[in-house]
Amino acid sequence: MGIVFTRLFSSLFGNKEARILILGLDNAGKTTILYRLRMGEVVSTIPTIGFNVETVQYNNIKFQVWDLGGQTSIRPYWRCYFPNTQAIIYVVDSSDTDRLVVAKEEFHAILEEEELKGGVVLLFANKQDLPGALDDAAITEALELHKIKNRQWAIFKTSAIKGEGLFEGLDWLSNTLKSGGG
Amino acid sequence: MLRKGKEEDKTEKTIRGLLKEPENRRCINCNSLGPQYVCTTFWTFVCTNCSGVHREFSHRVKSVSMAKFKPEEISDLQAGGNERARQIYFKSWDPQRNFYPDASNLYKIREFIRHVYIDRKYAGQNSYDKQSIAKPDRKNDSNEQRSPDTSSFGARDEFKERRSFGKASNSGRDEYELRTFDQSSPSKRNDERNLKNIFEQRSPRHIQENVRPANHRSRPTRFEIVDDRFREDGSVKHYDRHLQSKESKSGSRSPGSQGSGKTSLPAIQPIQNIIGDKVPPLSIGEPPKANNDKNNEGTAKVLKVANATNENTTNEKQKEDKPVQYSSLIDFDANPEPTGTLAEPQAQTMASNSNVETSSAPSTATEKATVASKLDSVESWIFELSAPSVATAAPLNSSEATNLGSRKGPEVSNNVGTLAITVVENDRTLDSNNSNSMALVPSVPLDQSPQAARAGDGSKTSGRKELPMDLFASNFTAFTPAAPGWQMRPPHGIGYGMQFHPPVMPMASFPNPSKPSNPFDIDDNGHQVQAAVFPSMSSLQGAMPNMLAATALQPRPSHYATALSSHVSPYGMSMNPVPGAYMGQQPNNMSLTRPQGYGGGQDAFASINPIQQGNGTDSSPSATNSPFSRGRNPFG
Repeated sequence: MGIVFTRLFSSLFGNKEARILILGLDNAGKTTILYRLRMGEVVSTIPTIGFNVETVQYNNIKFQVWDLGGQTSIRPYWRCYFPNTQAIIYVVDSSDTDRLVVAKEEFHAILEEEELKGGVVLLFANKQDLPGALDDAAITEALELHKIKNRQWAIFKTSAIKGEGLFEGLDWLSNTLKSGGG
Repeated sequence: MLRKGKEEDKTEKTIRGLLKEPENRRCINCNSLGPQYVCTTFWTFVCTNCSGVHREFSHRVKSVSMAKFKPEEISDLQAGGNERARQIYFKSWDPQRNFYPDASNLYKIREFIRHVYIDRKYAGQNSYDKQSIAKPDRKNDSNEQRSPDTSSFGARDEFKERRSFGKASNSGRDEYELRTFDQSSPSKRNDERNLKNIFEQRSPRHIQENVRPANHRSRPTRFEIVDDRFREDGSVKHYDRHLQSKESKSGSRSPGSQGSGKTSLPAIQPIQNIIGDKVPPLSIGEPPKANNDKNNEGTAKVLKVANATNENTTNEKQKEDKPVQYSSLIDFDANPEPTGTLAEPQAQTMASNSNVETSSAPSTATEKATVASKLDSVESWIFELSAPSVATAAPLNSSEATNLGSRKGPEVSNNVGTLAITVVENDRTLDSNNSNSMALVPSVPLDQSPQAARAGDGSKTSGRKELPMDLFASNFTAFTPAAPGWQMRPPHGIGYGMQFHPPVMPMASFPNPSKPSNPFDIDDNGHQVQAAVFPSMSSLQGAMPNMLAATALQPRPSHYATALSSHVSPYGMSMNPVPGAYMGQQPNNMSLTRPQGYGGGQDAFASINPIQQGNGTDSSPSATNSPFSRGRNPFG
């Protein structure tokens, strides 16, 4: 009964569920973003080994957000989580200009994944609170986002520490998914 | 691919090899076994928790097992490692005093990493931080804030110490300030390093000093003030040792300093010198006049005010008192009290300050301490010698000081200037006491008088006498530097306000509790005390009657001058004293306004210190400085 009622309720109010992956290089702020979205506060994190998963209710969409560890050796395991993913949140450390090239390579490698062909891409130019952080335009340039074809994407300047830009991005994501992207 | 695999294996082997080195077997921050991460910002091996904290500070972190290292990173890591990082960031780390943060307490780890890598608290620049667990940070702050160029270390140290005390009350603030200061510190590292030795030496002493106040503290409120004094004294002592060695090379500023080197015995000699000075002062009468004139110019306003308040009566009394004083001195000689003598140095310093300021015992006490600290190493030596006596005297004085504080102030100043003057002052004090109906007053004058008599005798009062001399000189010197800048403005308003405080002075001389007592005492005694103080000021100004006082005062300068072989010194002294008085007033005001004795003392010190530095730079420790300091004393 409960399940039936829940489904009925969700269908009536247009609730949707979406499976989302948060990816990015290590120390980009993925885990901090996840818990900032989930709890609205900054938590102290340690380098993620494996993943963190949380559900975030936003704009009548229930996001199942997977935060995967970004260290070099465990990036190959990202692909294990690609199936049935509606959206990718790719986090870039805007202050880590040395590794923007690596970030670009990883990003485009993800776009090539067959299992993510239908997914929308949301980029967070994170760590805008740090001095020397590149803005969204510079990140767009550095990651060569103009090369993205046949895919909906957007980039937002964010600061997970300050909580800026995250929900704007989530707004875009929810609207995009509602409009049929997902 | 095969090559890559081989390279990766190779790099991993190298890292694993590095991890087996004893220094790398444990997290550099929390000392936990088996660090699995490399902080590539500092090339250290850290545990998982610490790696997370490092990331919060935007330090780069890589996992040993789950990240891939480039060959250059490997070479950097080989050149770095925990051992190398320890040499840099844990240079001043003392395993006996400092502890690793709990690996499970993220907050502590965060604080620790901030201290080590952001503030570089243990990077050697701020070695003194280690000194005392309780106050290490504050000291650093004060040091950092201070400019490295100050000529006299003593002044710096005192300043630092005082600051630290003030901050001690606000631990949270201190840390914050420290951080900011630390960041700005790098340019001052060299200076700080020089100070390191001093601080290290001090640290144990400081602790002792801190403990002392606790013992002496009869009242909690006073407690704070007492600490300041003690610290200052202690700091002075430390400085003295250092400074003496250094200064001796350059040449002692003041004869008193030489005497200090002699230790207790030398103290007697200075007294004799003082006596001898007394005689010359009479003949020298003229120079003092000049001093008086100068003083009048610099602090004419203040003096005028004082005169206005006290009017001619004070001056007249002084004149009249002078002859009386001699007789009184003789009497006092008859009554040589060891305790009194011990207390005298402090009382004198107090008095000198009070005179200069025209009152405000608590402030004077703090000032004295500051002055002492500021004083040259020689002076500091003297202080050291007298330190025990001071400690003993402090308690004794405390009872007397409360009532006598204002009275003593004038007396002390007179003693400094000349014994005769002291007598007069005593008479005045007696008068004031009578007006105030203070029972204690008489006892105080007695103590002082014995010293004067002894000095005149030149036979026995060696240790005690010397101490007072040094104390005076030290006080004056300290004041003079600070005074020039500050004197003019604050003195008038502040000085008046300060006068009210004098009753508190005795309290201050004791421990710090003076403040609480001040409010109460001020109302009753404030006016009377002012009157007593003012007379001294008027005499200094150079009025005819004042001339006598001036002459009396001159003797000391002359002594100094003889030692220094410069007449200028007396003038400078005269000038300085006034500023010192102003300075004293300011500090006093500060203390009064502020509930905490420490804070007030710090402020006063802070204000004084800059000036002192300037003075130090302007006039090298040569004779000129010493005279100034001395001159200040007589005036004070």
